[in-house]
Amino acid sequence: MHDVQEITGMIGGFYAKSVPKVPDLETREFGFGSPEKKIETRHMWYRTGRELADALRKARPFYVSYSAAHYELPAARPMVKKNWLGADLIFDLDAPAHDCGKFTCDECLAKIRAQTETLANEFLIDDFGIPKSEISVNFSGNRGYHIHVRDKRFFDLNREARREIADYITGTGITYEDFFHFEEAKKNHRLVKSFRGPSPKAGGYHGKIGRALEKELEDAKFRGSLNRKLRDDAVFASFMAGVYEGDYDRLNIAKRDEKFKEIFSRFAKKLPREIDVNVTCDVSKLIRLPDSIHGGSGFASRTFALEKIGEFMPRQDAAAFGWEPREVAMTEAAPELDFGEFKIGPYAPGSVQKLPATAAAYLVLKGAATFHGSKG
Amino acid sequence: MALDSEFFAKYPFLPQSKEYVVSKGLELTPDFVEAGFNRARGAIVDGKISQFARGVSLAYDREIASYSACRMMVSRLDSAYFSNRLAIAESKRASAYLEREKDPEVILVAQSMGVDARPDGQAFQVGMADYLRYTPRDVHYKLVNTRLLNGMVKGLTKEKLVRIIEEAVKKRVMSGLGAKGEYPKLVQEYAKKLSETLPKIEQANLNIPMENYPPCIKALLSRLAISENLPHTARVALAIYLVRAGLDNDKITKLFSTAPDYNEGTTRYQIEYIRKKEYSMPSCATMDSWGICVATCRCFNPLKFNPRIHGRYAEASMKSADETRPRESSG
Repeated sequence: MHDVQEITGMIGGFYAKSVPKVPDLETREFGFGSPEKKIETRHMWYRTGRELADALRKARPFYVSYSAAHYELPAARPMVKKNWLGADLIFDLDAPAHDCGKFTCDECLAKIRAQTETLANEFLIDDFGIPKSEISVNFSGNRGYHIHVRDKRFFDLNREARREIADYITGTGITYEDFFHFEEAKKNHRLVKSFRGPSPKAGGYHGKIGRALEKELEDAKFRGSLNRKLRDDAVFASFMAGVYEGDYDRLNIAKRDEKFKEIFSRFAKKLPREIDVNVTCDVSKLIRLPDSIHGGSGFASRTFALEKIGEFMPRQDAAAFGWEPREVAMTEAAPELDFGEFKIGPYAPGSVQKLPATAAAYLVLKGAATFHGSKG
Repeated sequence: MALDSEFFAKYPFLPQSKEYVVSKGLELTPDFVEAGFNRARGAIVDGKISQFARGVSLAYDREIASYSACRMMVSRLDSAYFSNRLAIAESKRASAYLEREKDPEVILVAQSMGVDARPDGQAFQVGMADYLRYTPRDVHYKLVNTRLLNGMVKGLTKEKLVRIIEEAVKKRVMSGLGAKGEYPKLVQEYAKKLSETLPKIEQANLNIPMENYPPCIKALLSRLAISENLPHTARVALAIYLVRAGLDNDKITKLFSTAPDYNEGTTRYQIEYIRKKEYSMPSCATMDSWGICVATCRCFNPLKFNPRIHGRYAEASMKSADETRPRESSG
C-alpha cells in the first residue's frame, strides 16, 4: 500500500509537468487503470487538453489508454451508440518471451526496436506508401513499441480489411501459386508454357522474395544445385536478366516447381514479425496513450522521431520520475541494468539500495523491491 | 472514348449518367416507369437484369431512366432484402458490360466510382485502401500475395479490376436506397406490386422460444432475415448462440439461408465446425467490442440472459437518451 502511494505521488509529479498531446482528442474514448487492472474505468471523454490534464492530475492513474477509434459520442454506451467514425491504424510490437524474465534485457529490447524500424521503413513507407509525417512511433513503456498511423486512406477500413493489413505484416496466407506458376502465352501462333516467378524489382513480397533469391544465387554452390550450367557467369547473367522480368525459364531447371517450392517455404518460415494482430484488427481498441506513464515499469510511453529510433534507449530516454535519490529494500534479486547515465545492480535480496527515483520505481513496480523509510 | 448515351445506359449509376439525365431533361414517362418495374422484378425475383438492345439509341434513354425508376421503387419499400438483391443484380450486370470494355473505359468507370485505378503497363494498379475495401476475402486476393508498392497494388489483371469495380458498384447502389422521398403515384403502385414478391420467411421451430433471446441475438436474427450482409464476427456469435441454445444444424442453416451470399455447404460446414470445437459464447464485452451489443442488459453473457431479470434493464437502456458525459474516474 505504501508503495502504491509513493508511485501515485510520482505519477502526480509527472503529470504536473507534462501532459500528453493527443491529436483529435475530442473524438476519442479514454480509459484509466490501476495496479490491479490496466483498464478499470473507460468510456471517458474530454473536450480539451485542459480537461484531460485536470483529470490526469486528479486521478494520477497507473495506466492511461485512449481509443485508436474516433467517435461522434466517445462516452456513449453501449459501443454502437458511440457512432464510430473511423480509426487510426495501430501496430503493437512486443519483445518475445525470452529467459531474461521480467527485467527485459537490452538484447531483447534492441531486437524488437530493429523490427519496429523495419516495419516502419520497409512496410509502412515503402509498401503502403504512408508519408513519414503520418507515422508516430512510441515506446510502449515496458518491452515493446507502438506505431500509430494517421493516414486518412485507412481511416474507415473495417476489421476485415485491417486483418488483411496485419496478415500482410506477418506474412499470413502467403501462397506459393501466386508467386511461382506456369503461364501460357501465345508465341508464333502456338501456346507456349513458361515458368514465371517473382522479380526482385516487383512490389510486395514478390520483390522481397525475388531479392532474397537473388542474394542466395550469389552463392555459386547454390546456383549449381539448381543447374550446373549456372556456375558459368555468362549463363548466370542471362538467367538473371530473365528473373528480373519474372521469367524463370531462360534455363531449364530440372524439377523446378519442387525446388522453388522448397526455397519459397524456407523463406516463408523466416517471416514472422512480432505484431499483436488483434491490436491492429480491433477497431475499438483502447491502447496506451503515447507519452503517458506505464504503471508496470514507471517509464513513459515516449514518442520519438522515426529517424531517431536507432538511438532510442528505453531505460534512459523513457525515464519519467527523475534522478532524485530514493531508498529501496530489495525483496528479490535484480540483475545489472543500464540506465545510460549510470548502472545499477546486480543486487541481492534483503539489501538496501539508494537509487535514482526512476530506477527505484522500476524495481518496485517489477516487484523486486519496496520503498524503504521516508523520502530522500 | 465516347461518353455517349450508350455508355450511360450501361453504367447508369455513374455521376456522369446522372448529369446526362439532368442536362437532357429526361422525364419519367409511364413507359420508363414500367421499364423500371421490369428491371426491379428481374433483379429481385430472378437475380438478373436483362441486357438492353444495343444499337437502338432510343432504347438507351429508356434504360437509363429505368434505373432511376427502379431505385425509387426499391427505396419506397425501404427493405434491406430488396436493396441487397437489387445491388447484387446491378453490380453483376455492370460487370458483364465491363468485361467487354477496352482498358481505358474500365479505368474511367473505376475512377468515376471513386476507385483509385490506373494503368500499370499492360496490367492495372489499384490504391491499397480501395483494394482492401472492394476485394473478396479469398486467398488469391490476399494483400500478402499482391505486388504492393508505394500504396498501389500492381500488376492486376482486368478480371480482378472488374471484380473490384463490381463490389464498388454494389456498395454505390446500396447507398442511399431507402431514403424517404415523394414518389410519383405510378412508382408507388409498382412498388406495391413489387412488395408482393417478398418471400415468406419461415420461422424455424426453436427449442427456446425466440422471445427469450437477448436483444443482441434478436437484432442479429432480424438483420439476417432481411438479407443484410452480416460481418464475420456477427455470424460467428450468432451461430455459437444458436448452437448453445440447442438448435440443430438444419435449423441454424435454415436461419442463415437468407444471407445475401448464402451457400448451404459452406454454412453447414461452419456450423458443424463451431459445434465440434465447442466454442464458448463471446461475453457481452466482446460482443460490444464487435459492435453488436445493442443494450445494457447487465447479463454479462448473452447465454445468461433471462428476460425476467435483464429484460427491464435492456428496455430501459434501449430507450434512454445517449450518455454523453464522461464518467469521472475517482483517483
